[in-house]
Amino acid sequence: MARDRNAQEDFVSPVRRLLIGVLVLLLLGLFLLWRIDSPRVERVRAEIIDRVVPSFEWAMAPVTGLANLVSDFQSYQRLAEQNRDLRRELQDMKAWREAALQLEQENAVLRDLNNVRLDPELTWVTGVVLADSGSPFRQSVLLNVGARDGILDGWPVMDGIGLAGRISGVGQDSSRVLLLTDTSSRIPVTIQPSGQRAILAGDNTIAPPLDFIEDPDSIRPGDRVVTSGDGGLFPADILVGQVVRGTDRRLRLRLAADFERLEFLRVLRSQQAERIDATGALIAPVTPPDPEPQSAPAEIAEDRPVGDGPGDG
Amino acid sequence: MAEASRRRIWLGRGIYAFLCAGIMFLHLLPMETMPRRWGSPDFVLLITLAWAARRPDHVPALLIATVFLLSDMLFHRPPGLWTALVLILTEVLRTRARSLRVVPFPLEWLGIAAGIVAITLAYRVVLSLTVVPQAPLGLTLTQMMLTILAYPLVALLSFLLFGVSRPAQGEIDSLGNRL
Repeated sequence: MARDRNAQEDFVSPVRRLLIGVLVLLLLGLFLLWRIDSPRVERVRAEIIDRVVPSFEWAMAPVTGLANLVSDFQSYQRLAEQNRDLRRELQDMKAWREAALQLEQENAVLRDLNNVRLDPELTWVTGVVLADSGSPFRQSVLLNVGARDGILDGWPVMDGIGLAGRISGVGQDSSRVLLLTDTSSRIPVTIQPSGQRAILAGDNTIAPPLDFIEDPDSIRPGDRVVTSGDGGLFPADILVGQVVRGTDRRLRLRLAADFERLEFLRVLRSQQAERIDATGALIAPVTPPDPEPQSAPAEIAEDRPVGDGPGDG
Repeated sequence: MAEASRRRIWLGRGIYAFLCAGIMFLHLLPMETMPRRWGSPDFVLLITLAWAARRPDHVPALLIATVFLLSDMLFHRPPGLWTALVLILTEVLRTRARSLRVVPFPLEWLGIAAGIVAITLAYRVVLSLTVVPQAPLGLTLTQMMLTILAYPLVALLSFLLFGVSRPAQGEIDSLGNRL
């Protein structure tokens, strides 16, 4: 026993213990620093990921390809079944296509009548998914486009059909997409026919719940949900998904984007929405001849900002 | 002689670093973009604990800190906290390594399990004290349970593949030092 204890004391010398203590303190300090000044540490994190992950790319592509090959092979086994399903779906789609074509023509006519100018700024950059978050606790993916391609924090990301998430963290050659399913994702949305506003709050499930709904009775499963553009966060009217009622009786969202396989994602170049702050200037001239009459119109205008009406449509 | 012993230690360290990098790489592959209801076992943690309990000289503290800090960064965990907790646990294991060696395997397993539970709870407590948004409790608990259950497997594999055995009492290396 005595020899045992000697050996142990020899192994864990006081100096070593001190160094370990310093190391632990440094790490906890890093955690506190992150808690206090998160943006700066997150920038460092994006920098590190930008260095590390793309250097894995040569290995990632073949391994991912192989795994997809295996899953594709599994799906070949269900080919006949799939074929039947697809044919039936195609039948449905043809009907829809007809309806869509008619609607498109009608839309074009109406737009022409209205002289609508579509937003020319809404262009996109397409990126390939390099890596996922690597842990079941975070729902995010890494794209191979970054600051080099002009990506900015906060831009919305879609797959071909619906919203998938938003950019959070940009490195030189890569950027991270916080998916809608992540627990820290909150997106303002509008529920289509009733025009109600809600917040789509990710909770690490595939069907995130809708929060802060004013009148849940007027919402039915199947309603379309689009981004509302509130707070200038996203451009309005990007499709997000459909309302479903979850097993817990909450209103949840079936996302339109295909989260089963996120491979190519579009980053929308979202321009800063023009804000109208000076309400008075819209009614009265900007530099009135004398300053006295300016206050009256400004007050009237204040309870209803012009040009920012509720999205009832 | 000294050269051989040192080479073995460095080989052990290299294997450890390589394994951890490999596991992290597999985690990062973009094959799972759907949220899951359960967390898979944390193999990096398991390997670290098994080696810290069995061959402490193959996993120096600085290497552990580097590996876990990198995984904190890559996996979007709050940086530093998990690393610090794991470091403390491995230091505890390191000081007990000699006594862990003589007990039967179930007791070693029990000790490791207690350690994993302790750091998981500490992690959640600190996160809730600092009001950091957290993952659902169910996910953490399933991951903890699966991690604990997978320990014998990892111990067995690291013995079979890399020869990380528990040195018998009085076993000496080529230099004549006690292991």
